[in-house]
Amino acid sequence: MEVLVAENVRKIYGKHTALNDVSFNAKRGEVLGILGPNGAGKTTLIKCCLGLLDFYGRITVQGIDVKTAGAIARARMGYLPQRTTLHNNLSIIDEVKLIGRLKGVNDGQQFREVLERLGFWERRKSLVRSLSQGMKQKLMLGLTLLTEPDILLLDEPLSSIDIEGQLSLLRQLEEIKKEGKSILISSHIVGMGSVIDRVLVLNRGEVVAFGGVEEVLAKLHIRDKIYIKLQQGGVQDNELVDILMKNNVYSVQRLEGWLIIECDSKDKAKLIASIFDRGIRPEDIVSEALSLEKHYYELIRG
Amino acid sequence: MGYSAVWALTVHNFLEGLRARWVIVYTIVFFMLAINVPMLVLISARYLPPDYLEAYLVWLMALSFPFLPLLSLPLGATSIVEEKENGLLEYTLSQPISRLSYLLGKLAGLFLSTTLVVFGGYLIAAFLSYGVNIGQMTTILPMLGAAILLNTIMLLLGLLLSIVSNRKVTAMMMGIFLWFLFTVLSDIGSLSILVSIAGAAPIVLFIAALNPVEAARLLGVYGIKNIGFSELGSVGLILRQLLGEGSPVFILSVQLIWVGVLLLICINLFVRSEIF
Repeated sequence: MEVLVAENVRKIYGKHTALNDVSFNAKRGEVLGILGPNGAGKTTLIKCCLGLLDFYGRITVQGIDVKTAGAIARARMGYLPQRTTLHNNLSIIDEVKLIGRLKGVNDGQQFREVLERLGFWERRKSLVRSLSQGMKQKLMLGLTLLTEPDILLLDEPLSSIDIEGQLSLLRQLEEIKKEGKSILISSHIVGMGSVIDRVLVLNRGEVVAFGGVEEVLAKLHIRDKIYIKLQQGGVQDNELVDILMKNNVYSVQRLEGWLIIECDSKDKAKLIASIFDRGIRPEDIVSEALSLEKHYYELIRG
Repeated sequence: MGYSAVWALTVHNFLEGLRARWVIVYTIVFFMLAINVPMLVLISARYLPPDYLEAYLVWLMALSFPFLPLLSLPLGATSIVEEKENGLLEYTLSQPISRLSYLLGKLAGLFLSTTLVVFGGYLIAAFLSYGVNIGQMTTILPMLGAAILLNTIMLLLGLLLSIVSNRKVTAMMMGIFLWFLFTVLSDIGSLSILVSIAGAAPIVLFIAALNPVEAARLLGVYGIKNIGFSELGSVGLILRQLLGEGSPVFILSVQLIWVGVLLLICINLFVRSEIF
């Protein structure tokens, strides 16, 4: 089921087209990554989804149009902005109460539960300004979950926190995903590949690719690779190539004593098994999985 | 429009307004201005004439009203643009609230905090320094009303600057310029036209009454019994000549139109603005 649907979204700033005919959808319980370099239009797209910017086209959240019923649509969304912006003069508990009330929550017990779950209850009277960037982000993420939104929109969530914070955030995202919530993450850097189910690749405001990670990479002819190093004096390369070509491989290349084989991810195990079945014992085998990070530049170039 | 969200924002902005350094400094200065140390000496020595309160109020309005915008204009001018700069506006508006709720909450909170300062300053001065009793409150009320109206107009002007600006410094500078325009340039401009164009006096002075600072002073003065020529000033005299007994109604209408028009412009611009 589609939680968020964007149809032909176009955003123009003066003479600059920030988004050009962008269409995509986010399904329930999936993590959709919006990838692209700086200036690709990722943040603009998220702000359009939130109804913070005017745009041509249509965006709906659970069927609610963000243009005509922005506040109602935002009640279904949770937003974690790129900048960790909270009211620095407020105490942690007052911040939770304020944002909670803006979300329509006014239950002291619920505020307490959120703070306890996030580990902030003991220091609830400390000022928000005393928190580190990572802690502020953790608090903000906790606040977005206060009303159990259907979809989370995270804008460059890894850009301003340290490695420990990044790992902690990724763990939290896995948990949120398990709860069946949809997550939309924009990113121009690596690190999100492990949690993303589908990708929307933007470059200069245009959709370069959209779909499942493997599907998108396959369209760009980027496939899993297996590196095989044969023992000297053993089976001849040509003999092995013949075996490989019968097993749905896309290409076989030779490089400095290694055979580099391109194949589908699902065929890798079968392929390796068939080599051993023929009695061939390679000196080394290295399997390289598809990775958004590794093929990032190919992705954004389309 | 979510009333609970408006209330939450009102309370938040009210407390934030009272916490603002500028408000604290202004409150101290304004209170010092209002209590008027020489008057304190005179009252303690019982040297004051029976109608001292009226005379004092006219003096106090002429002295303090030009300074009232210095509270609300900068506070209003920096309020929204500061949140634009630090990203809080984007975050707040990403919550399930409408732009109108946000603006009304912001306006109400700032209005309450600045009104508290103005009311507090005048009332504490009146009760503590001048021994004003409850029976004399009716004499003070027109001044308080005029001060609150002026404060509201300046707050709305400040908010308007904050909505159209992208930088806090720009909004602040424009706010200070407006204060300078209403308190200094307006008088100088009127005087220059009066001196240079024969027969322009009624028109120029009529237009001068549109200046919210001068209008607020006149509104306060009209509320005092036994006012003379010197209390009304040149603008007040021309108005009385042109409009007769309708002058106070005209001035009150001018002030209310300021409030209404500014509120509508603020709402219209903010609701349609984009949050970058």
